[in-house]
Amino acid sequence: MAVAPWAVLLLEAATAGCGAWGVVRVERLRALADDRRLTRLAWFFGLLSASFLVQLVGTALVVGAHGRPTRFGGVAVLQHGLLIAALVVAVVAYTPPWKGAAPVVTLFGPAGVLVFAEVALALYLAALAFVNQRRRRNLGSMKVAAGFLLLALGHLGFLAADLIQLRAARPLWAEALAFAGVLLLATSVPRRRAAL
Amino acid sequence: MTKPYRSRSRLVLDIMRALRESPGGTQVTRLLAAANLTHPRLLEHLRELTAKGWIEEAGQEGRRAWRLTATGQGVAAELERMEVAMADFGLRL
Repeated sequence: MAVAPWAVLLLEAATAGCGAWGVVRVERLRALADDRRLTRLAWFFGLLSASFLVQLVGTALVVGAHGRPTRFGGVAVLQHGLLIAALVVAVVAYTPPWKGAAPVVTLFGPAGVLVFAEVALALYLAALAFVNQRRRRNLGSMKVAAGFLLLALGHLGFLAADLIQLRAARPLWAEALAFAGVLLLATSVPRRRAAL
Repeated sequence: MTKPYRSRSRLVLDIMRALRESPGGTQVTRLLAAANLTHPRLLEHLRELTAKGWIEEAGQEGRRAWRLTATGQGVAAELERMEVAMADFGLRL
């Protein structure tokens, strides 16, 4: 089934917007009481949003080229760099980051390794969030766990598309999963009441 | 053993919770115990919170005491929501 390019662009723009929304929510809370964990959460959402914004530019370049070869290697590296930075910031917020770090996997090739790292980091965060959810057993912690899991599954979709060489390098369903994940994470940050 | 990190918002919440327990006013000894701070550090925080309009002085029998303002009540509630949300992320405020 062919997917309209505008749908992918729209979904990527919406995901970037959700990330930015997360920054706004965290920043409004930080105005009440600054906190280095909230600062990291703001950076996580900001870098995530920037990563999807850069990806939007990349997708637009590909769509605009109408099948002609394009030079967007720099854009792709920037997008992966931003996303990995976002996930690393989130991992650092949780725990000393390099304990038990897995050895670098070279199975996936240079581009695949970046996506693999993104999936691994997001899955790690999802696992931590699910352990936390088992303890807390409330809706909020479930949303956070589901958010990280969907973000990881979305990127797992990109990795699978890369590995089995699907027609679309970034399939729409994977974009939708990533979008849903970021949406859940952003809505897990409470909205500051306007009266204060 | 190193003491666990206590964020600024956690500290503010601890102080505000202690103040909320006594709506008429909380004296400094009670606040020192609740906030686990030195006297000068506690006074520094109290001055800052007063300047923000979150707390106000309420003298009790000639002794200094503080209580939450209406804005402070709202801020304390917001910080508690933030605490729950951070815990949902698996993080401590």
